[in-house]
Amino acid sequence: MFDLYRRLSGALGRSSGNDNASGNEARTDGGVVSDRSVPEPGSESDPGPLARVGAAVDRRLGSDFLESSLFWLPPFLLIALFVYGAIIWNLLISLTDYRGFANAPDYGNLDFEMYTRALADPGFIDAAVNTLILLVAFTGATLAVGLLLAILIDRGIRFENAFRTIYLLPMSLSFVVTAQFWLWMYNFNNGIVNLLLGTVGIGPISFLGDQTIVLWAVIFALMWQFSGYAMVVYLAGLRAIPTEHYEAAQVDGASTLKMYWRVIIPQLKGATISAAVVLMVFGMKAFDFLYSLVGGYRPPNGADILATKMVREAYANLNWAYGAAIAIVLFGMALAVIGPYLVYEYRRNNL
Amino acid sequence: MATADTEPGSSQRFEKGTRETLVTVARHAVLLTWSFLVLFPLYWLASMSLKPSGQANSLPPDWIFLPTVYNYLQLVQSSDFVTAFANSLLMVGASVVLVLLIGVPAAYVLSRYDIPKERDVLVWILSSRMLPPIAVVLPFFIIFQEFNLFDSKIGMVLMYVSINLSLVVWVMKAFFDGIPETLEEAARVDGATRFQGFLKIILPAAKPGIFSVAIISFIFAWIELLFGLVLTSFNAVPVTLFVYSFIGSRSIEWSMLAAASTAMIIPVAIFLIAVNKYLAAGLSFGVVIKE
Repeated sequence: MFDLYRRLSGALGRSSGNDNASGNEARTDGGVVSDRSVPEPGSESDPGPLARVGAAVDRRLGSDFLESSLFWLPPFLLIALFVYGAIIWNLLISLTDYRGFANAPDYGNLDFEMYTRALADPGFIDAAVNTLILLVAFTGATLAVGLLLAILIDRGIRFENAFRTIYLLPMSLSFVVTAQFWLWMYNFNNGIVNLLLGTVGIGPISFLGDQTIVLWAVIFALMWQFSGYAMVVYLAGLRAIPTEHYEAAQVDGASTLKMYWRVIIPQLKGATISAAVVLMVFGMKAFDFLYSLVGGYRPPNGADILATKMVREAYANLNWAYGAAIAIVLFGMALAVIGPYLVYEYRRNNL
Repeated sequence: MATADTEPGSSQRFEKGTRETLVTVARHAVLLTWSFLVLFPLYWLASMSLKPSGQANSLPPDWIFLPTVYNYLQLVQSSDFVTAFANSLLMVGASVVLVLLIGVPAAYVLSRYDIPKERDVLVWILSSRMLPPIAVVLPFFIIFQEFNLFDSKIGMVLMYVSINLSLVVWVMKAFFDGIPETLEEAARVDGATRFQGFLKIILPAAKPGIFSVAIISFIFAWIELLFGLVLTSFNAVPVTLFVYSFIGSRSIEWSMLAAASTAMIIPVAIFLIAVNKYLAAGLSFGVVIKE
């Protein structure tokens, strides 16, 4: 696939890269020698065998390959090991029957028993459905709020920096902290939300105790935390739209609402996609929030998601293999969103 | 599409003067409401940490109270909290230094050098950031026990590096791309090597970017919970987990909980104020806002 890409874009991308490289060479060698005008032939006569091998590699893979690999290979390999290596190992564990206090998984007989077990486990199905609801609703709501805030903040507002910092602030807080005050905000007896609802005659509502509500209460809390991020991405998107588009729409007599709906928002497609992908990643971190709400592995009834179930099965019930299988399902869900996004952006040369 | 010679909206703005004012007021109202929604819980947390324990969760809330630092004194005197706080500062700090040492040169090389399949390398690095850490934590539990890294500070530093590495590489690469190459070319004409050019010309020019990416790495590691939960037990417990010691089986020590939580925010708050200008670009993974 990559070869195909190279052949297609060969005419443009590669040739410009080579031009650049040869230009650099001319500058380092030719430029320096002629500038100094004291050529000392002895100094560069025999570079030694090692340098000759290096030169050969450079000729094949581009002039900077060897020199630069010293620097880009470490992160490349770290990620290969720490992320993808670990995921593959996780997959392997999920195919074993590893559980309890055994020292190591038995990789002798691998099967999909854990996955069939998951499908027969109503707790797993519930958690999977909750995870989907959480990811979709959280991402959608956060994008909507972020877009609204970005539009309001965009066209020259005073104290823009202050607003931006305030809105981003929750994102830098630990879930441990935010969960504590949501616990209090949502408190049945003396939480501020029920206090406010009480003044208009509603409630009190048991936000964290009612199975049908708790997931939405969690989604709102997460939305509260990450809407600032969506705002920042949309703000960048809005600022990239030429001012003439606004002016043209105004000259045409379009109302502000119509202008945003017909002219501006369609141009934010790219910002929406990239923000949505990153928000999904944050949504996966809902584990931290749910763990912090109760300080334990069992979230409130009705709010169990795959992440909490995975950690509970593995670290509390010592069903390592089953936990690993749940982790792989979660990974698959993430990949289903992120894979197409990366390929799409890659093809469009946005990455 | 656009008519360049049209006078931008000023004349129309006069016609719609009152409407404009209304819209502006409404805009501010919404923005201020959301600011209030964001800030109120933080205010509540801080105020609760300053109340004596009996008053912390009273109903209706005591809006006016005599602030006391008693909870914080308790906290500082508890050696467990101080240890956990120091642990976190040390582990997170070390991970930031390490991730910069690995990530910044890599970002520079990816920005400037002619590397085959450079884009593939970048996508490879980026993709790791987008996958749920929960999918890798189980194997690390096994590896860490195998190599005596379980409940060790070194192990936690490595995990923190792994969550921040792709962020550092991507944001810094975007930053280096924005620094004109002519700067180094001038230095090289003067006889400096590429490495010298990087050290003496580019690094100083990239200081704001490095600074902000360091802070953001710090924050992401500081607020990390899962790895601390699963990979530590006693010696390397980060401060995020310490907070739970105030949630008892029967009751919650609200005021102590609030004090510990507020203390956790303090380092982050200091940094946020310091890098306010670059925060947006960093937190948004390199999406740069035009000022």
